[in-house]
Amino acid sequence: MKQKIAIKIPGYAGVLLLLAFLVCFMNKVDTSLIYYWQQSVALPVGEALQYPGGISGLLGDRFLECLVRPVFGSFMLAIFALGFIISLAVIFRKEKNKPVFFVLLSASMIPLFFLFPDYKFPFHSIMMVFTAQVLTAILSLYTPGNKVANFLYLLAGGLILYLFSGVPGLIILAQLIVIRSFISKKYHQLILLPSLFVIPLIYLPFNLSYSLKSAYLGTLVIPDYGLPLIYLILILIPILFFLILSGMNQAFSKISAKRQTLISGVLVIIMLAGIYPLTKSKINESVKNTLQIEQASFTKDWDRVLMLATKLEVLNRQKQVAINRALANSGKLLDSLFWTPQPLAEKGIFLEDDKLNSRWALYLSDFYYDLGYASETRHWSMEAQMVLMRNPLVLKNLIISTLAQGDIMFAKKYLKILSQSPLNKDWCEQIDEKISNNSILDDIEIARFVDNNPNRDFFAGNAFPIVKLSEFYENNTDNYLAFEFLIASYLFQNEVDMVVNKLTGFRSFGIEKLPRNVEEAILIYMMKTKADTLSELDYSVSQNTIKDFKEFNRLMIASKNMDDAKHLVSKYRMSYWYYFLFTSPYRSNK
Amino acid sequence: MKLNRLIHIPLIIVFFSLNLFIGCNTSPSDFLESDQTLEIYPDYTEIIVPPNIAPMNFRIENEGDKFKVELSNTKAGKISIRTSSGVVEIPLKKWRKLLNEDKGGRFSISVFKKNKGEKWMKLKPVSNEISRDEISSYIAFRKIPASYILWNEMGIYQRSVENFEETPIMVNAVTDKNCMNCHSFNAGDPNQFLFHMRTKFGGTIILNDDSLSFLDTKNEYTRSAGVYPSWHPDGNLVAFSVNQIRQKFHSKKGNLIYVFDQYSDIVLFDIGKNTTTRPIELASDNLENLPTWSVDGNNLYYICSDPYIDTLPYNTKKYNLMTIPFEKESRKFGQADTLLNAADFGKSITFPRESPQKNIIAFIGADYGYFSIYNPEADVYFYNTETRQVSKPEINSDFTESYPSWSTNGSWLMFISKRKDGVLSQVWFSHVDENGRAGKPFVLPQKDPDFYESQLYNFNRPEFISEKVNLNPRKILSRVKKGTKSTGINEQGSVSATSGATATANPLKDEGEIYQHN
Repeated sequence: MKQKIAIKIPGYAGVLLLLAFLVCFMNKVDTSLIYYWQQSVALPVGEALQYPGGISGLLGDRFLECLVRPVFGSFMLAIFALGFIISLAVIFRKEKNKPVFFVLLSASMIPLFFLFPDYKFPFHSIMMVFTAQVLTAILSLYTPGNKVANFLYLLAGGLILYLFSGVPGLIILAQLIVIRSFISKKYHQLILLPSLFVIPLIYLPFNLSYSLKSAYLGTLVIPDYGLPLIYLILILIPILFFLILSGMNQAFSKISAKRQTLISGVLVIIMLAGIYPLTKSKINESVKNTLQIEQASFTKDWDRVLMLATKLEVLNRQKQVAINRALANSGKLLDSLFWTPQPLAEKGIFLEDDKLNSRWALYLSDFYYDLGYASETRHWSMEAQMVLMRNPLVLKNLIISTLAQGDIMFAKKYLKILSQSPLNKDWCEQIDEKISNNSILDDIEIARFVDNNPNRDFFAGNAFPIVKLSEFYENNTDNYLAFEFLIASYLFQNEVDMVVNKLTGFRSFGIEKLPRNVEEAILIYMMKTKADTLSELDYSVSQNTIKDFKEFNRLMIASKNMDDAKHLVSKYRMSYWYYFLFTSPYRSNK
Repeated sequence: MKLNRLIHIPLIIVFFSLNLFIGCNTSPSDFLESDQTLEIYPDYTEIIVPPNIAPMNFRIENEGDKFKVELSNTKAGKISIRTSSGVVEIPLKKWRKLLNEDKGGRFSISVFKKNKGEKWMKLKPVSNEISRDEISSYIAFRKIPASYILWNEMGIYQRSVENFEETPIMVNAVTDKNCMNCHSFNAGDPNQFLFHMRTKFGGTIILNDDSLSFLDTKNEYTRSAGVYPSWHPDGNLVAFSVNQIRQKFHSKKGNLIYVFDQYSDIVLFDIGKNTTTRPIELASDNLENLPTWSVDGNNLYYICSDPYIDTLPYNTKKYNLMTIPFEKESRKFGQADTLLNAADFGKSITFPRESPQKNIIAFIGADYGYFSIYNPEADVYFYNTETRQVSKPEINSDFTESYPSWSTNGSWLMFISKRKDGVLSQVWFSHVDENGRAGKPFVLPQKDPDFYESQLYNFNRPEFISEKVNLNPRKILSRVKKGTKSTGINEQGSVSATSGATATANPLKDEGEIYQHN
């Protein structure tokens, strides 16, 4: 009795402490980013049942919706982990009185600490292991006495596991068979193993779209990841658990209850002490920051984008695009365009290029959504849909842009799919109601798209996005966002003459005072051409800008060479002049 | 033992309840006649149906809590179904019997509906004609989501028209998500079949009876691999177009995309000799495209337009319908003739297909271009080869109709239409009688009547097949892995790549985007 208590006290404490730590840890990870990256409307059950691991995919999609609120999400992941270890406890229920049983049970959660912070690691794959372990635990509750019945029982279980959890399911069931054989010393049960791995072959005639390779490896090897060691460990936890438990049991069996408590307690503390630095290193702040910026830009939380941008460590193209969008949507684009370095120039606005993929297509779709450009929003949403088939962000952009183009029947199809997501059901019902009431064109977003529909058709190729933007602006000269992005594009390309050519545009928007970066460009233009452009246009450059320009010039003249100049004028690094001379990829051309 | 009994009792109850339920499947004796017309989805009303078509499952759109459905022919055959959801799934065997025992007759759909606390009401029934003409038992199509630059999953599938069995012939899941297109059969023969794959594992798969080959049809004479194919009825030759295809995206509400050719010619591929011939008659400066053999193989129909000029407005590009006689023995072409001039007709002509029976060439008429799947105004037209008259069958909609093809007996026209949502294409059928009159079209039946409400795939290039193709992705993959076999050129019968359209149209100048793998 004392020994049982000795095992349970540190064990339960360890499990609870680790779960509590998981909640705190996941909160720091920010579970909402897992949802943001992997969100997808779950497939209907009938469709999910048609391929191995489909049900786990469905459950994974459903579960991901719980992660949208970070605190609640952390709690749900802890529940998930608890379910994971309970199933393990059921599998090893006969060993529960062995020393370090609970310590090992707690330790089995560790791979989850490593996988969850990788926001992009497919949750479907983790769910496959989870469902496999739960189903295996259920299967372990009963053992037919008859050998043939046992064989059929496990084969049927294997089929179910394969459909629910793919090959990870078969591997976990195989571990159960091995463990049982060794515990009961009935090694003939191992004969069942080969039959288990014949199951994918049985499945093949039912799905001609699967090759032998995809039947065996399709659910095991993860795109972009392969078969990471930590995932493999997660799949192999039952056998690892068994081996360590058996080994440690030998060492602990002759130790007194008091010492067992002490050693178990020490092991728990070591585990907790070890897990903290190990898991902390798994939080990649740069990736987190990028995803947070993208997430905020999709929710149109522009202040948050700019706030997060101040924590930037590494600038990449997606971040630059998100920051420029945030600046534009906050009305700061042409005043603070060079607030961050812009080494990517116009590529920091437009993502169209040779490296297109569905994720970039989604960013593009959202960019054109901001502009109110229905055709391109729809076009890029459809491209995004190739891989992100049921992604709610893609579906929403499709619904709005197709409705704006009058394709109500098509929009309804997407509404029907999106409404299957509990998170998006209300939004869908609101849109559906507007369609039913014939008041969809009164929707502010849709009305904006309708107003911006070009009067004249032109071809919106993706080879020259600035030309496309220019055409779009010429067709919608009251679209200030399009105008701003166009001016920013010219600034990026050091086309100061084009900026000057478009100055009348500011007048048409009722802007009396030109934005700072535009003033800076005008001063460069005037210096280059000696033209008195401003008096012709009835615009003036503020005295502050002129004063700074004079100072900038004085420093440039005083410098010995360009390196020296760059150093001397570094206090103007957020000016257009600095970009024009030192950081623009176009600087040698102008 | 006790436990076993406990299990058995509910089973017995369920069994008897089911029997009782089935027994109750008769029409109500006490009901009111309603002036409400029965509305069903998909619209399977006032149509002519093939006697061997799959059950036309439907959903009742009229509101009600309970429904009793009766399908009856004029020979007293009857199927009764009860439903509370409004979804009607017709048992295959009973359906087959209902149609077969009254070929040339009619069948009607009667629906009784009941709301809570009200009496049964009989809706005004609808009626359909049962044709004597059977439809080819299989069709093949490509399923691909709607996209323009990127792609992900796609495949070429075969579907039994007589039931709901659908199996893949090839899917790109086994070939690293490459692109596959332009599947083609020799007059619906499942043993003579080809299709192309692009990017990874690029080449043309040709099944010729028992021989499965994987060929690279591109050579220095043609500049592009074979694109749009047509099998000569003799089975030895395939006419291919060779094209430089580009696309542009519209900005204004209405059209989405414009697909066009910078150049195109037509070449002949000899399957037995594994050689390509580039006949001078079909390699001019003009854009020869979309070859299709006449049923007897003595003529090649195709479409033709002036050379591509990038400065001309896109909507002025129109294609004529052409014919050129072909001498089978010498394999020589005669003098090309314009069957239908686009300028006279007022529309661009594309996708011509001659009927096996009735001197009709079905084709698509669009305002411009040839890639009519993106032209909402594109409609099906008939050209009568005897009277040289054009007629427009009443099978068209306000949305795109494209890619017509004929059943092997010529009684059924199959085409794709986007009428359900304006964006995705589905397969539609229409009966065409001996006078060339087309019946009201109906969509390919699905087991789930709401299938088209949520599916996100286009059905491309539907082709009739007389039987099931004995190929599947794994068989094709094993051949593809061995690599392509190069093809030769019949120099005697060919003009060189430095003459004709491929030379004058500059293939290096890209205006649109090429398709790209995602």
